[in-house]
Amino acid sequence: MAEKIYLHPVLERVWHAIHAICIVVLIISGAQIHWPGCVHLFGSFQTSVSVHNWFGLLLVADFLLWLIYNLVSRRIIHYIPNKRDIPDGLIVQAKFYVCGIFKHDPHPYPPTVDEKFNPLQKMSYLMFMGLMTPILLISGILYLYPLYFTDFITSIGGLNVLAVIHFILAIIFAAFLIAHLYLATTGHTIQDNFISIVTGYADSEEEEEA
Amino acid sequence: MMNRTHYYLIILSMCIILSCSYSSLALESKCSFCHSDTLEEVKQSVHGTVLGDEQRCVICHGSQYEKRHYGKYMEEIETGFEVDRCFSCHGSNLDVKHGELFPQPQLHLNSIGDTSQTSCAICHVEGKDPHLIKPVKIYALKDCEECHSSDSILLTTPSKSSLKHQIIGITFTNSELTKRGQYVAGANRIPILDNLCVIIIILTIIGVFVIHGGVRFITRKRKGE
Ligand code: HEC
Ligand code: HEC
Ligand code: HEC
Ligand code: HEC
Ligand code: HEC
Repeated sequence: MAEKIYLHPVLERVWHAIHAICIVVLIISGAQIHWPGCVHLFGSFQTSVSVHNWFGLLLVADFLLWLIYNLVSRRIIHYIPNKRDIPDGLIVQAKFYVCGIFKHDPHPYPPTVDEKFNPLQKMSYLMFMGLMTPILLISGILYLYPLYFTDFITSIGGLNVLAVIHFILAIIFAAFLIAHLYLATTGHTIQDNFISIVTGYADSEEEEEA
Repeated sequence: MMNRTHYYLIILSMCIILSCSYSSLALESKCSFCHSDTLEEVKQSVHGTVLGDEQRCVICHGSQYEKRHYGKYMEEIETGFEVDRCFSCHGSNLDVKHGELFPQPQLHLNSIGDTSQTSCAICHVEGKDPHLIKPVKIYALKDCEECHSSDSILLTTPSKSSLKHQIIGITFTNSELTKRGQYVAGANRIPILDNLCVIIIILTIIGVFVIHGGVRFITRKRKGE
């Protein structure tokens, strides 16, 4: 039996679960709002709008939870690439996905308690949590309360500009979600990473991805 | 035999009677002298009894119509209708009332800047005539997808005679309004972006699950290896 390490503290798992549900619901309800003729998963247009609004607000709260928790506990350090990561670590990790993984090479940067993520994960999670999510959420908030931000909205060119920014980011998030789910299957076994994000424990010898 | 004086007197009195009767015509009948159908429609609408005879037309259209306006090109005279005129009587709690049904009531009520182009009449008039406003229990447009969909009524090409043309003016097209900043979710879209979205999603799925996943499957560790 491989030794277990405690990789995901409970708050991080709760955060991740809420985040996951929100993102999935928002993508589907957002698709219904964008293509009311094609997508009907949330019933009427009206329901999809209110579902989208409520889950959007929940995601804002969840993002703040993530931010404050990681800043206070200093676990934000997991997301910051270090000297080794740029650019060497990124290249090594990318090579592993393109090549090594098929030869069953060991993961170059297996997760440890001190370093949860590999260099690629650090970069992409930092990009998403530090840049894309805030822009997505801010554009959503502006769109939800346009009356309080009329001047700003007019200065960027109106609701349509806002809507397009929101839509482009949504596409990126949907693509990210697919890749994220796939990469989660590249652990020791296919289901390994899925189990560890629920239980918090991961095998220490064998490596994780997500 | 009638003499000249009598003759003049009769003419004079006829003139007096005519001018008296003309000036005693209410403003309304002045309008209805030419716009008689419209008067009937206003009378049949919710406003039939509430808008006093004197001001029936001018309260919504403004007094510029009291001057002679026929014989001009219609482009020269604006219809003089602004949402503000409805707000002057219905102002205070419209946001609240419509907010119970519509998210973003202010966007729907056309009260922020000139970005939003919905008009009261689109939802409150069933046929083509902007005057035939019925009690909301009888008619009021609630179906979101009439507007928020790819075949939105807001996107139909204006035809000279349609209500929407009257309300929104000649320039009302999707692209015109989008240029001015309006974006009606579900109706306005950028086709290239939509296609790009579908392509990106499909490519991502194929790229990771089918190609990368497929190679992983082929090169997987077999039992006993
Ligand atoms: C002598 C006849 C006459 C009188 C009186 C008259 N109008 Fe008109 N009105 C016209 C004509 C003719 C037009 C042009 C209609 C057209 O070309 O479709 C017109 C156009 C209009 C329009 C604009 C319609 C559009 O298509 O943009 C409005 C609004 C209007 N009248 C309101 C009034 C009001 C209010 C009054 C009373 C104060 C009034 N009119 C009195 C003849 C008259
Ligand atoms: C409740 C407000 C209201 C009242 C009262 C009203 N109108 Fe209108 N009228 C409108 C609106 C709204 C439009 C369509 C918007 C536009 O064309 O700018 C319109 C359009 C018109 C038009 C051009 C469209 C058409 O139907 O041919 C004419 C002419 C007109 N009104 C005449 C009148 C006359 C005459 C009266 C009085 C009998 C009157 N209106 C009373 C609101 C009103
Ligand atoms: C998007 C469609 C839509 C638009 C635009 C709209 N309304 Fe309404 N309005 C409705 C519906 C639907 C109701 C019925 C609400 C209900 O059943 O409670 C309503 C209700 C009302 C009522 C009755 C409110 C009450 O106290 O019961 C008034 C008055 C009214 N609208 C006036 C206006 C005016 C004035 C405008 C333009 C500034 C306007 N509406 C624009 C859809 C609309
Ligand atoms: C002179 C003031 C006045 C103006 C201007 C006016 N209204 Fe009204 N309107 C009223 C009154 C008063 C009622 C109430 C009628 C009733 O409850 O029987 C009413 C009723 C209504 C109703 C029906 C509400 C219901 O509960 O069924 C609608 C819809 C409506 N108005 C829309 C409009 C629109 C749209 C405009 C502008 C084009 C407008 N009104 C302009 C005074 C006005
Ligand atoms: C008369 C047509 C019409 C109807 C019916 C209508 N809307 Fe809208 N809606 C609009 C317009 C116009 C805007 C404003 C767009 C702008 O200002 O850029 C808007 C804006 C919105 C927005 C803000 C996002 C956006 O598109 O800019 C939401 C959310 C929304 N409507 C939801 C609804 C829901 C839910 C319903 C049904 C209960 C509904 N609408 C019915 C025309 C309509």
